Formats: sequence, C-alpha cells, structure tokens
Amino acid sequence: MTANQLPGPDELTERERKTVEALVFGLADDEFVLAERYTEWQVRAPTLESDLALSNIAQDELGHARLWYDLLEEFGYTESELLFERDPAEFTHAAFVELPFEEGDWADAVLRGYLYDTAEQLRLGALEDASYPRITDRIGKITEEESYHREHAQNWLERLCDDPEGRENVQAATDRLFPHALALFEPVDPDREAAIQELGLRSEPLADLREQWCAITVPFLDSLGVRAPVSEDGTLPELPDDHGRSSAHTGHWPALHEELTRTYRELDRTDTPTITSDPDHAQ
Amino acid sequence: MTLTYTGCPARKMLLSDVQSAVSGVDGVEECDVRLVWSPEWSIEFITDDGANALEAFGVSVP
Repeated sequence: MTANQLPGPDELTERERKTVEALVFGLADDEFVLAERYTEWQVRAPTLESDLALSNIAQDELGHARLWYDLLEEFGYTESELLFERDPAEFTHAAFVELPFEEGDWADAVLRGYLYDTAEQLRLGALEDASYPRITDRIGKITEEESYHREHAQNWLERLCDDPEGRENVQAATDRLFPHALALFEPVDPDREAAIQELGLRSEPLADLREQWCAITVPFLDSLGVRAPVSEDGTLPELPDDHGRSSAHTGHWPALHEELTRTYRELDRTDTPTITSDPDHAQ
Repeated sequence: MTLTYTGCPARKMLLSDVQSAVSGVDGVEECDVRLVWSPEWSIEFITDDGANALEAFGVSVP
C-alpha cells in the first residue's frame, strides 16, 4: 500500500476520477473485445480440449472486464452507456484485440493469447500497489485466474513449433501481430498517463512494462525458432497507424461492434434491466 | 459475499437469492449485500455444512 491513498469513488476530485477512468476503460475494453473475438473459436478449435480452454479463457476475460466496468458504474455510468450505447469510436482498447482471425488460423489465436496474457500479467503486477483501493481489491482474484491462460498458450506454441509448417504459421502470426501488440503499452491519453503515474495508480511507466514484456516474449519465441520483428540492437517495429487506444481503430472494429451490440438492438433494449441494486458498491 | 469465479454467470441470481434469504429472516429490516473480491475465494472457505450440501447435490469437495 502506498502512503497516498485515494478516497472512495464518491470523494474523488474531478481530475482523480478522470484519471482512474482513463486507466480502467483501457483495461476493461481490452478484456471485453478480446473475449468477443475468442468466442469465435467456440466449437471451431482444433481439439475438444482447446475448444473448452478457449471458451473458458473468453469467459474469464469477460468476468475481468466486468470487474473493471463495475468500477466505472460506481462513477454513475450504466451498463448500457458503457457497452451497448457507447460510440464505437470511444472504445479505448488496443486494435490488437479487435483484429479478426483468418479462418482456421489457430497459430494466431494462441500467439495472440500468449502476447496478451504476458502483457496482462505485467500490467496487473504494476497495479498491485495502486493508490485506489477499488483497483487493488480485485488484482489478486484476476491474477489467480490468469496463470493457466499463459500455460495454455505456451504449451500450444511449443507444440505448433515442433512442426515446420506449424512454426511457419506461428512466424507469420508473429510478423503480423507483434507490432500491434505493442499498442497494449500505449497510453489512452498522454496527459492522463502522466496523472496515472503522479497519483500512484500504476507503479511503473508503460515503457518499462513494454521493455519487460519484450524481455520475456522475444527470447521465448526465439527458443521456438520464431523471430520477433525486433532488430539486433533492440529497435522495436513501428506501431501500425490504426492501433486503437488514442488513435483510430482498424476497419475491423465497426463490424465487430455491430455484432456485439446486435442482440441488444434486436431486442429493442434501451437499457439493461436491474433486478437488484448493484451490491458491488464502494466500501 | 464473494463469488468463486469472476465470470460467474449466476452472479445476479446468487446475489438476489442472498438478498431475499437474509431479508426474510425475522427481525431483519434492511439488508445490504456487498460483493467483494478480496480476500479471494478458496476451497478452504467451504464449511462442513456447505461440503455436505454439495455432496448431497453430487459434487464432492476434496
């Protein structure tokens, strides 16, 4: 715990609230959109076990998205405002999580999971001592549910790379996804990012987390005979133009957003029903 | 209260059941159910009564 703890959601200053929001929207949107993409693999993964594993991972990420969106609801947003009525351009996820899977490209799915979950582990670790207790409250639970995601992805990458054709597929996915994955370490807004540091919300700057992420992922891929697009002197590839976060999303996002809000619109919902008042309120 | 799993699909139902059960107790005028994620749920949290009830339902607790 840091010395300068922020108060509960109702007592934050406007600036503090906006800063917490910037951080939490990024976390929540990444989880939510990735989960939506993962569900496309349901009943289509190569084995029954991997089918179940990916469905479970998708459900975990949805659960984690919910824990983050809950914090935003404490600021007065409704579920509809956060998800179904929000302008798709306002979503702050990295475009990395919205990219479509080519049909049958299982190497893409496992590599994406590996790159994402390694980033998430670092990102959550840097929030363990966050100055906002509502964030630290949930880190342990989320982290506990994450470890098998990495185990699953690493295990599959090793199996795929045992075979020359599989390794080629992993290499192709690495060439395509690695530059996009760097956007996971991009701020939603540079000023808010400075405030995230200043208010003690995240213990490490995003650039340091990105460096740690590279120090894990690049040698691991290398051990499988797969080369990440990082030069000998450690220079990273350029971020794609439309990488999400503060920049534009790719052309794949409007269609995905359309899909994930379709049922809501078809049922002509204007608001999600509340059965009981939300008990997950501030302490 | 807490849930065993963040992605629990029965979240609303469980919360609502706890709310009703507690509200229905004689002498309880108001009930405010709070969902927390820390401490994290673990299997040690299952009481003997809970373990028996689960077993009767067909789920064995190690």
